[in-house]
Amino acid sequence: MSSSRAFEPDVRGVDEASEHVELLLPVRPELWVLARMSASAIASRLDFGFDAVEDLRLAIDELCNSCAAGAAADSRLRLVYRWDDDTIHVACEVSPIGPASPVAADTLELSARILDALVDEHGIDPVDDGRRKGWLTKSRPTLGL
Amino acid sequence: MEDLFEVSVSQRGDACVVTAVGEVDVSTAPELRQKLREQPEDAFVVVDLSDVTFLDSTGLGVLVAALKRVREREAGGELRLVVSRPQVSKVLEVTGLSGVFSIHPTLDEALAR
Repeated sequence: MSSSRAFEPDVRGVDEASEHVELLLPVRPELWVLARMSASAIASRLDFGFDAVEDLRLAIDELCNSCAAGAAADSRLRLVYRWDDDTIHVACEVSPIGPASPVAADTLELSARILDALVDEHGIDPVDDGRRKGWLTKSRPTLGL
Repeated sequence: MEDLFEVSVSQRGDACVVTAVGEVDVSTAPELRQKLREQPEDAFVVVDLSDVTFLDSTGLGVLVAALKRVREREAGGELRLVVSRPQVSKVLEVTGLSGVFSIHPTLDEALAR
């Protein structure tokens, strides 16, 4: 995991004029499939290739899981996708969420290992002002490496 | 929304075969966990993931918990996985779990003792 950030994950500050895709969902895990589908569609349009699309699909699922852990039934999850020539930047925010929201340590460890392996950078911020934020970036694989 | 997951249990010789089909994620993993918990602690359990198209950390956690139960109880039980899809193999590899489970490419090979 990197401490440097290529993308400011504050989704409240998204420039509405820039090209991006937003997805707003109730925190119901059966709806994560919509997050995975959107990730898959965007990565496919950017010619990420089958393996990288699958990687991003799993990474988005893990990001949603980590951000939504312990969220209340009336919480909302917001995903914002932005992209440039060869990189997808994703910000995730769940609110409202309490500072003591429980997170299963074993599952989070597995989730972190998956994200470490599948994306370029990722992170989850501590709960602040009733919100938990996470982010990741993934670049299109370079052929021949 | 359409259910993207099914799990069933069948008997093959002395083995309980738990067959999962579809996507194993945070919303469907509890169903798999329940089926695995229902198996006798001395059972030879084969979890067939051949038709699992998606497996996330929650699903992995269910499998790890089932393996822990088998090992901790020392009742003679055994747990094997059937994995044939690259996406599922990859998630086991990147989490370091491919060396923890007994993984087989086909059900027939997993059933051989």
